[in-house]
Amino acid sequence: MAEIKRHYIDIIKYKTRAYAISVDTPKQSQAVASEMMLPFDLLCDVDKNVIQLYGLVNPFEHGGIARPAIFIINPDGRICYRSLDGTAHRVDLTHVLNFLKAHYENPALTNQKPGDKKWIIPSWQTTRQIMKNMVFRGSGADWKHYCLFPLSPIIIPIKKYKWKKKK
Amino acid sequence: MNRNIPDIDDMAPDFKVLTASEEQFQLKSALKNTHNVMLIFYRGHW
Repeated sequence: MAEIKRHYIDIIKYKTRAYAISVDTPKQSQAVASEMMLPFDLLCDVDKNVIQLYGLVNPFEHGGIARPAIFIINPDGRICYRSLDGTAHRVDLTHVLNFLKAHYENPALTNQKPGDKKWIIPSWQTTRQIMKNMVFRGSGADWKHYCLFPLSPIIIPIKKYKWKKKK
Repeated sequence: MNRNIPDIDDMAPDFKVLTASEEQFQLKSALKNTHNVMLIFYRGHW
């Protein structure tokens, strides 16, 4: 979100409005918006209806939260860009901005090629929260995103193989 | 991963939620002013 905040002027320039959505309450979202001084609105999907509608429920963490993703919807209501990300690996924002620029020049354009993901190095704040979740909540789900991502070239083919075998 | 994720060229499902400042937000209304809408799904406070 900090990266999106940095490039928000570019996003506006390409006739796009950004909204970030999570299952947080308005109070929690307001705290995040104030702390980060975000120039865009945060939406509160407290009932988890929207993340279900978009198929982005991660039921394994914190009682059900959103999987990170970006959708760009054109004024006709059609999805013209989609990036399904992970906690520790997200689409490079340059890819999103390049698409917005191209889409601004050609509004009929849709993105067919997924953008390269980049590995997010957890901040000190994130690391502290991960540790707190492990110690006080007994949840080891968070650290796995960050620590196991470098092994994904090995893990993903194994998972795909297992999935094919199961089919 | 869930297979009901809307794909490129699909109509985006409309929804209504509250914003952080407790105002109503509807996707359909946000799209009316001829702008694209970028929806960023994030994990939230944890």
